[in-house]
Amino acid sequence: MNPAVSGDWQRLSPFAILSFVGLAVKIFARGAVQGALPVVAAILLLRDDEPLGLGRLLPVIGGLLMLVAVIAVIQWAYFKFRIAEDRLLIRKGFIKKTSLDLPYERVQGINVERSLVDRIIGLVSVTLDTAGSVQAEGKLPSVTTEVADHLRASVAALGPGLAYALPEGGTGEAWAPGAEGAPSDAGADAVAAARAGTSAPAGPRLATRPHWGRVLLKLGPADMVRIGLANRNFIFVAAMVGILTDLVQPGDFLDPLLEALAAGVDSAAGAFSGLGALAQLVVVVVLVGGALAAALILTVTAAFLRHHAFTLWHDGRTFRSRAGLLTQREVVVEAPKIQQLTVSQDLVLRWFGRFRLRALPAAAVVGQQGGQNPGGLDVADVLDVPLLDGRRAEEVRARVFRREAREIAVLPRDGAFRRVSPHYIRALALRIWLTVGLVLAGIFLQLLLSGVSTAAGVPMLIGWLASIPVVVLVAWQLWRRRGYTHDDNGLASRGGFIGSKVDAFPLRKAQSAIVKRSPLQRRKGLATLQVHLACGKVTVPYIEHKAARRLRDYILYRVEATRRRWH
Amino acid sequence: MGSPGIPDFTKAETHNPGPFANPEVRPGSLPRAATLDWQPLHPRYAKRLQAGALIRIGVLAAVVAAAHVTVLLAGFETLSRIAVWPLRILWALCALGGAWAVVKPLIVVPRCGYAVREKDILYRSGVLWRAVRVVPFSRVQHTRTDSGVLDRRFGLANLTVFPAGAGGHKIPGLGTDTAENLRAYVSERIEAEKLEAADTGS
Repeated sequence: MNPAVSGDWQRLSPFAILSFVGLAVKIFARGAVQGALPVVAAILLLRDDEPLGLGRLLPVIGGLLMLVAVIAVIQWAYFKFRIAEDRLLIRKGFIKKTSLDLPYERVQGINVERSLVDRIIGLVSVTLDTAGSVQAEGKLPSVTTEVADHLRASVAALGPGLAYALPEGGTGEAWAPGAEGAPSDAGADAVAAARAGTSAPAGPRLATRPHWGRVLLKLGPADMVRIGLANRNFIFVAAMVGILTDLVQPGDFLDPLLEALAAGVDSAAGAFSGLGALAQLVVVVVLVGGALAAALILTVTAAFLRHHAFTLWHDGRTFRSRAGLLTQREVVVEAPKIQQLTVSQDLVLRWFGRFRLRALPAAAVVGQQGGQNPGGLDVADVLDVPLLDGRRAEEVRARVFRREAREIAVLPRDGAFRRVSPHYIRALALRIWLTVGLVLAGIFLQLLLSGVSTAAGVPMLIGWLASIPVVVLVAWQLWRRRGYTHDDNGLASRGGFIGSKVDAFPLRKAQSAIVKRSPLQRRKGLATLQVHLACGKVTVPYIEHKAARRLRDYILYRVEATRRRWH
Repeated sequence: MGSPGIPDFTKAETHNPGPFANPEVRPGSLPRAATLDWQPLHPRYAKRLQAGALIRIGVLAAVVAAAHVTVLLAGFETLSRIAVWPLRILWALCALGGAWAVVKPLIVVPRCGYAVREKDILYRSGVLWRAVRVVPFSRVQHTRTDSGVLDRRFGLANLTVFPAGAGGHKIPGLGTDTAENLRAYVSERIEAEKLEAADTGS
């Protein structure tokens, strides 16, 4: 048997040290940017007139390099892996020892990449991706192609990839309304049903690529304007434009050009103060209107660039969207991979009577823990439908969840949503008010202690008291938006402040469940249920403790009872 | 649909275990999370937490002491006058932190616990804000045991099970053997789940 895949504990090739060096340098660089840079800046600012020559820098750099090299060698020496029949085991760590156990059966994807060094030596780096938990996924730097091929073959034989080809009537079991037949016996009946299904409710068939299935949605130029208007950045962009037109800060000494500009605006400001009140108002209105118009043009242009001719196809198994003016982006998501549907509607979209829908596949959340993406994994693409009406949203819901969770509500104003306990208002108000109130109290104290004016105390106190009803109103509105609903197969949770957002998922896709209780909740017999999915978490706050536990146990039951894969 | 009720799956199960039975691994207990026989964390874990926190406080105290000595030796009248109160507050913080470091683990650790059932693993934690987290074995992607310098000194290890996406559920403060056995058991259960899945032909 080949020693490389023999199943013994083995070290990486010594060339892997280079890859560890790269990793250490990366970490150092990140640390430098976050921590050391201000220190360096301070030294540069505070230094005496002696120039900071190369002679003084070199020893520092040399020392750092030595440190990095030593760390890399130690990391290499303590990195061992074993290729067993059905799993990959990794032991690593000098100070903090870690052992990883990766069954091939759970591996989502296998990335093989070759850096320049790898290419010269003829080695490859293999990354085993186990959905989502980026933090601890297995990476084998600088192994032979033999090992990579062996791993790839093992994962292909044992991993979830196999299940892909086989079940659920692989050749595109078309969705048909009311077709209750089991997906596995997609025989002649299913085909007939599919034919009936596709011909009946379909509108005029738009330009369909034969193998891409049916067109579900197509967006036109008017929709682009709507998307641009609904863009949340609109207000932000308007503010930015406003700030840019208001560039009168005399502190800009960097660029003579800016200085000239500032001088120009200064003189304009001088002229401005010379005008009458009415004229000033007109100027202000024109400026604000101009800023808004400019922002609108920008966001609408962005919408055109990104979503132009957005088209959504569905062929029974795969959703495919394509959009874009200059660069066309195509997103392909397999329906069984979708973990969760999110339907959101902000104020502007509500005015248009439209929604935004996102379908999240596993591992859509990356960097939840570390904030970065160390393996350089491909993030699973989110299917993002920027604008659709309620009927279409329901249709996509039905096509994603199929027979299971067909009834689950996804539209925010569905009557099925149940309120959470009103104690939620109290908890929220307390939480918001503690932060707001503390800040206000701090300012108040500061004013009092500095003795600048004790007269400011009374208005401050009034402001402090006035913040209470405002906070309660905010909490009340948040509570009003909260809601949840579930049936035998799915759960949907609604939240939001001005707009609203619904997260819906089939129960069997749950990964883990948490029931949390704060002291207040314990007193009132309430609890918060949190369900983790492969793409994030869904929270149902302040429901009856019994209901939460029962729901949790039922979700666990559904997870166990199903034999369908969650991915 | 008004208020959809959950089908009563627990009752059916008492008559007939059926496809879903979830008895606890330790015999003689009901398979309900509420009445579970929670296993405590290792008794030495509280000591390990105390040691870790005390070391951290010690470092802080050393820094404060260094600052204090510097202020005293610097000989600046105004500086030492200004620095009196901040230094006193820092020393008080150190003392409080030390006391808290000793007391907190004694409060926290007894209220943490884990339980292993046939189909899932549970971990409860929290004193004021309590939480019970459950990870079904069929959702475990991989497992990890780790132990830092202090952990090893106290003969402890941490077990983390990773479901997809959620970023890992950690059960800290297990004995080295317990952690290894649990890890082996979880791996075994994953294996069993896989076989079952193959049997029913998913």
